[in-house]
Amino acid sequence: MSGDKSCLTKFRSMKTGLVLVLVIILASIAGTIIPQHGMHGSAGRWYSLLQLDDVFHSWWYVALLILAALNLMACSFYRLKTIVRRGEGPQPLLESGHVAQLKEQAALVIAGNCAETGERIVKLLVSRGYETWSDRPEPGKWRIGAEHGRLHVWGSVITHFSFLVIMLGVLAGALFGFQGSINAPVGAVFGLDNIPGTGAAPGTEGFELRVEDFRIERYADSTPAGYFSRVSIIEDGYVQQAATIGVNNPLNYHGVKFYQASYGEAIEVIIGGPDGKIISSGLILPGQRFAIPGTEYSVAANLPASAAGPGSAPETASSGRQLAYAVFQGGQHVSMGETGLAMPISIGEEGNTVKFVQTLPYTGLLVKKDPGVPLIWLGSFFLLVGMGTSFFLRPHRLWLVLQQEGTWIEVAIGGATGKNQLALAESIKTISCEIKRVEVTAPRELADKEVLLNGNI
Amino acid sequence: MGTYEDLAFGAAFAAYTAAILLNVWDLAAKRQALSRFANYITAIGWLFNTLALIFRSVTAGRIPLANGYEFLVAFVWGIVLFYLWMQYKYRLRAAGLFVLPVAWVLLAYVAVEMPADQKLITPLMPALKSNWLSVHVATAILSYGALAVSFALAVMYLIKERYTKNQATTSVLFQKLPGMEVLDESCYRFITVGFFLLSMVIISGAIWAEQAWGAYWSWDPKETWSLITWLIYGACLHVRQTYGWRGRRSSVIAVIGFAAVLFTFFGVNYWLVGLHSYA
Repeated sequence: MSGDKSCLTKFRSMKTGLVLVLVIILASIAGTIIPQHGMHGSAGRWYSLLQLDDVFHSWWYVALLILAALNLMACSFYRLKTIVRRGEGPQPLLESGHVAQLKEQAALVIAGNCAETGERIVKLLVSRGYETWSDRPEPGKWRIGAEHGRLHVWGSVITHFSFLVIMLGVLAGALFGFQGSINAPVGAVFGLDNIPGTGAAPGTEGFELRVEDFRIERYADSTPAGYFSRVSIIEDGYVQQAATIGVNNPLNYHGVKFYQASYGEAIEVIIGGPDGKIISSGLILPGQRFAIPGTEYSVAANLPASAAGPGSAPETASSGRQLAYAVFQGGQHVSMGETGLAMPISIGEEGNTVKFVQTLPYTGLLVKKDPGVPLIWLGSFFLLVGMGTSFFLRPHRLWLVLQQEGTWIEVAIGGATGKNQLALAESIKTISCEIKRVEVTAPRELADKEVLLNGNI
Repeated sequence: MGTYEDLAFGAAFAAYTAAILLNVWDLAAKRQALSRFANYITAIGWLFNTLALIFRSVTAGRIPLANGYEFLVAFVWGIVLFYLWMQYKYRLRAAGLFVLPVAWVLLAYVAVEMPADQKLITPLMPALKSNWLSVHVATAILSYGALAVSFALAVMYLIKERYTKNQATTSVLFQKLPGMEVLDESCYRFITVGFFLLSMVIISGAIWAEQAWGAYWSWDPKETWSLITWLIYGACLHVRQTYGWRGRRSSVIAVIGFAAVLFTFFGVNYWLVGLHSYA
């Protein structure tokens, strides 16, 4: 049999899907155990070929995810028609002999007239959310079929196609989104074209952000309670919007989101020429080098973290804070030292001076656009709706046969379900109790007969 | 308020211990009364557990779901909640012997092993200050609670099956354990509930991460392990529905799934480094 299956048939099978899921599980476990993002030592050839330092973005892991997604879609499309057919209309009614053979069944004897009781039972079933159909093959006999939770077959369809929506969201984000980050000192003005990673060509996005202020709020025990950047959005020369960006509170401007990601202190630097004139000035952020114009020298500076963290005001010489600096010549590290703020140091043979004037707090912002996010949330919503429909509707079918025996009616109830045996047993019990509660139940001798019927499985 | 919390915690612990002992005693009992009494004691323990959480939130001035200690006490609360619900619905005798010890071990860990500084009430760090905290953690507690119960039912199934195979039908435990089919079905019910809630945990976490970190999914170890857990249970439901893997096979997957749940909570915190480092 399996020999003549085409590749496509094999690929869309659930077996393939489950094998893929198993491989993804194992690969994901590996991805959480192997140190990621360059934390490993010397990388072997296999190591770099398989991109083991970034498993979740490696070509093979992404390929696995894509294969699993394709299999999921193919498998779901293929099963769609079976599922839809399964959800169709009334099932044939059963004779009491068949009903008694069902795995879940009960029998009771009640007083009354078959026709009236039958109608009441149908009403009872309808009020409990069943769809019903019935016939009277002969006088004094009533056969009823009932179905509960028929919609549940759509649960699986909705669940699986919600993944399609989610995947479209991921794709939209990958194709039309961008992500970058910037460390912006208080007072800085920047546009998207200043942020590496956003892919914005200079001057394309028509708005700029100005950082007005950065502050850290603290609890009484001095642990941070919140980080806040106050910014203004400037468009066409006017401030369009003022906003405070905080953790858990990003700024969303025309689909571009600004997140509070980090913070730190920048150092303002002034470079003096041999004649004492200022030839350059700017800001040094941690890890950056500042080039001295006209020479092959550059400097970097590093402030030891201040106990209070960066304040909202610039710190100057009067604070007495020391900083470490390093000098580079043509990319090579040549010297290093310590100095105070506003103390000039001379660099090179030409007599240039470097003065670290003051510190300025900067805010680290993550800048992101992801047009796929609404699709992700929509897909997630459908996923939950689909699962809820699939799991909690308690789908089952019931068959009842009412047989008039003199002034008494023998009722046989049986049911079947592919999904929830316990719930079916409960439903049959509840329905039996309801019928007994509404109808006049049989006296002693007939109740014994009921026991007999029940025991007669 | 802190001492009230300790008292409530102690009372809950004592009641759960007593309930386990009563369940052991019930093995030798003929009538249902003892097992019912054990369930009342469990319910009383659960009320004290609830009180401990209430006292905690009054002292902290926020919902008590923000660090590992609070999560564990709430996790136990969730397990026992689903246990009581199960007893109310299905009355599975001897189930207390398997579910309650899971809760007991977690509380014992909190009482004995957990360093005191991890139990302190600390103010919320900025990333945790979000309305999604309550949704995310509350669904996690309920999901883990349901999955813990499904784990216990799977273990019960495996034991019952082993006894049946060895024809050890005279054993007391065998006689008190519910039927294999009931165990299998109820285990499946709890997996569907837990799986649905786990999906909510992951989705609410994604929404929150998108707000706090700027990405709905970052392959953080906690995220990855929750996905692994989700895939295990998803596969379990699929093989059950399509290939009829019930009983033994399905129970083994339920046990593996719960191991993944525990690793997602404990293992990731202790062995793996990531963004999700508070609980």
